[in-house]
Amino acid sequence: MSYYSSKQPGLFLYIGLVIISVLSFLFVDMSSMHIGILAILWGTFTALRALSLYEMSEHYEAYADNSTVSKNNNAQSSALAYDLMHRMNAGRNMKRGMLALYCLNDRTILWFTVALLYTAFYLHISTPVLTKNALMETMCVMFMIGATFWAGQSYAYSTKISRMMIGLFAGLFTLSVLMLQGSMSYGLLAQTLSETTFLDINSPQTVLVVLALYSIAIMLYALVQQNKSIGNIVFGLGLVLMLAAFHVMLEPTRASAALWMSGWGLFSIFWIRAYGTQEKRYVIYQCV
Amino acid sequence: MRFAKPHTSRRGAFLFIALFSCLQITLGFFLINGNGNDSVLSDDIYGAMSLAQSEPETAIPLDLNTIEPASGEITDETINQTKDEEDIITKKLIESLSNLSTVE
Repeated sequence: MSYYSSKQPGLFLYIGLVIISVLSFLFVDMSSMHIGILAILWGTFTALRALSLYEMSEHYEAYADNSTVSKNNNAQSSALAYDLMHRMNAGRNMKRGMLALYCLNDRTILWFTVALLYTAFYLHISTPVLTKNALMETMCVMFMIGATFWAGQSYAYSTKISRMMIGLFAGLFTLSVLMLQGSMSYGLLAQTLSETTFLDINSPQTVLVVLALYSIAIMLYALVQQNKSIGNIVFGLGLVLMLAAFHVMLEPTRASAALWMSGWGLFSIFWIRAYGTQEKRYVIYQCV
Repeated sequence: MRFAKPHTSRRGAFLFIALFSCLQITLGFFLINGNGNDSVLSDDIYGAMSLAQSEPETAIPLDLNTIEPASGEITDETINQTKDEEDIITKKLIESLSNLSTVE
């Protein structure tokens, strides 16, 4: 029996959460309680997904390195064939899960570290000005964007799933841009570019601009290092540049959180697949 | 041939994500329980200060006499009981008004 039997554990839960969150931010007048409920749902989902990947990581040895053939079951005539089937199935499922672990690489963890450090700095400078409620709402929205970004990476290893996710996120992103078209200020973007001044550090979306710049640096590094995933890298670069421009142009309202969530979710696919040139290896049965 | 084990079976990364999700859940519970809501008086003060800092030309200068409780719950007795809070608010109001006069 394969330990990791589910093909895409939690994928539909993730997609459902993304759709509910984005549509709620766009079309519903969200109160603090609604944002709190969404934050709890996203936090629970993130914890469960991390637990799933942790179990995968910890049980790797049992299926990848050890055979089930032993003195006890070797007497049965079908033991060898059963062991072959078992190892191939377990290996295939395990490989799928191991690829999902690439969402825990250094560049992603550094992305979260930068986000958390800036959030702490933002809390420090905004505490005398804003209410606790406003600060916690801002932080919850930031955490939801981070959870969308991380969980999206953990599912985007599969080509089939990634295509489905690209369709979903691109649709939500386009819908958000159309809905927020009226509130975009091109003057702010022109001013930022012409005066080469950075955003006000007191603004919550500055952290997203910082993260976009960090992502651009990582994608450029990937472009220099390899050329096998050049399509993903180019699309990712274009998308993150667009996201950085939107972060400058949009005021940090609740509706704009929908655009940020869908945009970063879409970018997570290109982010993880820009490094997706790992060598293909196949599990071949070995008599131990 | 066997798997090349990816480089990511590190417990630190899992703990980091677990901490991240725990923070998110805690914040969500705080928001639902309304623990982030300050008192009515403090909300008025902080709102006025925020407006004064962001749009000093449109903000209306406030002092303690112009602020009335939104509901009838705040009485002289409760204000006396929260003497320390009032002192802090007064200090922040003075700072806010001095900022306004500087801008004008």
